[in-house]
Amino acid sequence: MPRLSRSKRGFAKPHLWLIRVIGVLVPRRLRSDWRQEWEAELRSRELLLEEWDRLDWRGKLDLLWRSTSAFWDALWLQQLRWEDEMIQDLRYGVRMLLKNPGFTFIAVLTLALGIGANTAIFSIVNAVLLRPFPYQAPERLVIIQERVSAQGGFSPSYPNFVDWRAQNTVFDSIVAVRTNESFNFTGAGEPERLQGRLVSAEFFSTLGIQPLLGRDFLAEEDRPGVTPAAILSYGFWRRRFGADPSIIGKQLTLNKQSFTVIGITPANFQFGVEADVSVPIGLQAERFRVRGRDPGTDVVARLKPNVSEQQAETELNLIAARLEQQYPESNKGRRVRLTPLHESFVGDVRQPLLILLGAVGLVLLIACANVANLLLVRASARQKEMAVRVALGASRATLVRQLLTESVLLAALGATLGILLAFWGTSLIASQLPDGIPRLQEAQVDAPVLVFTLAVSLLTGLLFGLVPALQASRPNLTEGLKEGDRGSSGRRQHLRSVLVVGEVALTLTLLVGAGLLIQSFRRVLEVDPGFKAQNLLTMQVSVNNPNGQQVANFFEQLQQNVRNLPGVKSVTVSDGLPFEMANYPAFIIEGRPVQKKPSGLRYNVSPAYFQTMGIELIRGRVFTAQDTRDSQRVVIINDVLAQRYFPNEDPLGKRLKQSPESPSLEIVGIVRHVEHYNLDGQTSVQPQFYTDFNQTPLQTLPNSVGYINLLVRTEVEPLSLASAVRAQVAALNKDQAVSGVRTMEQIVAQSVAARRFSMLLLTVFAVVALALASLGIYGLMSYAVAQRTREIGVRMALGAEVSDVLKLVIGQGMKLVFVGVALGLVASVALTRTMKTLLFGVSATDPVTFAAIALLLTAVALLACFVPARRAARVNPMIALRGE
Amino acid sequence: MGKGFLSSAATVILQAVGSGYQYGFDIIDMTGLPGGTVYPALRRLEEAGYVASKWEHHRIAQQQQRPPRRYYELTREGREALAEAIKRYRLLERTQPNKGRDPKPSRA
Repeated sequence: MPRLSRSKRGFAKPHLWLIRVIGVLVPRRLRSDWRQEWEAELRSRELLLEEWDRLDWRGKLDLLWRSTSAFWDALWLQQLRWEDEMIQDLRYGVRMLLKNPGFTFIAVLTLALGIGANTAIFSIVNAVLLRPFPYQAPERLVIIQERVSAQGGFSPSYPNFVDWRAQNTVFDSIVAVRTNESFNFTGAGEPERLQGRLVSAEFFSTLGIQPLLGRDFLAEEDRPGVTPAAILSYGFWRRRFGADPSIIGKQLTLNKQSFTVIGITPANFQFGVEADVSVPIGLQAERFRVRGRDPGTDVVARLKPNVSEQQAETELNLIAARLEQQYPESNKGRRVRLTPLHESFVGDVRQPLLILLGAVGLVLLIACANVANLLLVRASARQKEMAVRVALGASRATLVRQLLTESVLLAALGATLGILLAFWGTSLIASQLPDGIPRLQEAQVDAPVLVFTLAVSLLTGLLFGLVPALQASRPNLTEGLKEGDRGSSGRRQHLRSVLVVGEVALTLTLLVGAGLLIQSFRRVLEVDPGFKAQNLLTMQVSVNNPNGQQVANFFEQLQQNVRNLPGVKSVTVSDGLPFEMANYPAFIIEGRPVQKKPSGLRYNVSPAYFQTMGIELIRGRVFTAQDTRDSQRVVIINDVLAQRYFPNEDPLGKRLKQSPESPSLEIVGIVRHVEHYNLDGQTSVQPQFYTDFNQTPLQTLPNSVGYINLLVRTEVEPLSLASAVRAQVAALNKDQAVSGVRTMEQIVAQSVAARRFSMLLLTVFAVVALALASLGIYGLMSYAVAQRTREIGVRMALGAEVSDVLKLVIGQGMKLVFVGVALGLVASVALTRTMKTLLFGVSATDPVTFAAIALLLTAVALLACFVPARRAARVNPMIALRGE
Repeated sequence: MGKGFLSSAATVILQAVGSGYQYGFDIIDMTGLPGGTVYPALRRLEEAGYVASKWEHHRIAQQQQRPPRRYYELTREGREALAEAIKRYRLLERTQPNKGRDPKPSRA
């Protein structure tokens, strides 16, 4: 039957080939019947249609499609598998693992650590970086910023935004949003300072968000002078109103103004900084009237379909150029920059997270190498078993299958434990992460993460199992069956050495990465912020009184009362605070051209500010009680401002103005520069000036900002005074909301939290890697010593000293370590370049760090070699030789 | 699957086998059901004893120069179960005059 022998032709026909592949799934005792049924069906269908060679592509596709049903058939037959060899392999594997509980425990634990850490980090990466934002078609959303040079970007002024909105043709919609606004919520129980968000009417619809309850803003609500409307966040609604749906239509007092609640956002809604309440930005249009002046606004837009980012940016730049001609004063050189929303939200955290993901991947590799090493040792022990099986007729494939089943089983156990670890680890890591990382709270071990874990653990199982399995399945029959064998062949030992070298190299890379981050962190902490953060209590006291005189009196009285508390050294108030907020207005130097207005950070502070903060006075004087609203208005500048704008003259006695029509301020003192944004950036070095809180015009006092910082320098633990200070506030005015009670040290720590986080995590990974690698070295050397007991015995009988034996064994181990260290140093040079942006004050190839880490690793490795070496040196030659 | 009610797909397949469609592919063509449904259903029906499978006679296959096919036929039990199921679906049809001519499982 020439046409029946189609085994050769089977591969030429994809449908028959597919049947063969799928057939592997079918339990073996059913397989030949199953195959024949499918092949016959397909063949007869083929005959019915035409011969294969004459089939058109449609017929071929039909056959191929039909053959895929075989997959479902094969899957269904899985339940008949119980007597099958795969199950036998599994059962046997379980028995083997139970027989060696020590080995199983170590291997599973190692893998669980590796897989668990990977799962935890991946769940965070997945939530923060990979998952699309829960807005409608988020890929079409962009953030629009202004820029004056190729780099950087800042929030445009509201009037510019209004012109963009009116003139563009590239966006479906474009909206303004200002987060980080604060509202005093009063009139319903305890007063509270709320986080607020000012938004254009179409803000939610642009994102494609429907209110959970109620309705969205109407266009006519987004302008001054209309009935104010507010949309509450789900969290605030639950917290303050117990999720009562009848809140819709009720009134709410925010900043002494009555707002009608019109809607509630969905529970998972998030946009930038968390906000308890959103209100139309148009209500406060008056505040944003000045073009080219802060406060600006963030701008979000949805691209029209078929409009690229490039096209949109080009058109907006044309509009910007027109605006520049129209308003040269404010819009000189201003162009726009479009950033995809996703990029803009996660751009900063992407690199640290990816580095951590890479690091944790290396840890898993090391864990794999360790387990592979254990398996190789075990394979030596099982050599006889393998030899017997081969002698009884087992094929090599059978042995490999059996061994791979065991290693995948190990990986599965490791993964199970690892997932438990990850559940716990994910929340632990998430709680350690700095605030402001979007969607971090969504990080959890969910379906995509579990798929990832499954894939990782299968891969791991194959990775660490394959080489040992291939090794073990090639037993030397005569060697294996002999009694009193010497065990390992040279080849196997060689393989284990390669694994240890690899482990050492990977560990060194991780350690160097962690070392560089630790160095950077230390350098950052060594940066002098320009003030003394210790023993400094801060809190924010809201200003919700339209009467300027009363506000002034209140803060005067408050400072006095708090100063009298025991444990308080000095007290001050300020509208801004380093690492928090400060205004960045333009100013004018009298007698100089007005066109080029410099800007600087402005803090409005009471006289005790410099003493309380510990800011050094360089020249002149600080504010005193003699500076009042009736005397000459004065200002204190920092050294940066002095050097930049008065390079060759004495600034004392010179005058500044904040705007042409405002009163002139005489410079009476120069203080040291204070880091404002962070400890590790160049952006912090900028002009700063201080105005006197006691000279602030009474009518502007209530409107200047929503709150005033109260700073208390203490002689005791600052937070221990928190409640006493709060009580003083309440004693003066029980409706006064106090928030953000923190120490200055906490505020500074918050600014380095992201850095601290990546440093800590990478260090943990590196330490785990170090532990695994030393375990690997120790295991290898112990085994080698055990193998060479007789040899060592002979050497000692022939007169070798203890030191000779130590040298012999340690030398053997350290040779591997040195090779690993050398390779690791090379790899580190290549890899640490990727983390350049995370470093501060230390180069990516810092020789000190590299040397120190290499030494540390060598020392630990030495210890790991020493223990087995000492065991070798204690060999009693008589006992060792007796076995012969 | 127990010997309780037959699913609508199983009934349709049983009916196809009962009316002389003996091979998997023919049943797929006749019922329009996807192969991923038909084969597992056939296996279930065979396990439940409603259909039995046999290999085609060697000579027939040889004549057509192909391997022998496996064909399915109704057992006595299968015939009873089919009659039962048809009765039930008729009843269903009558109680819901406007719905369910096409017994598609709803995707709740």
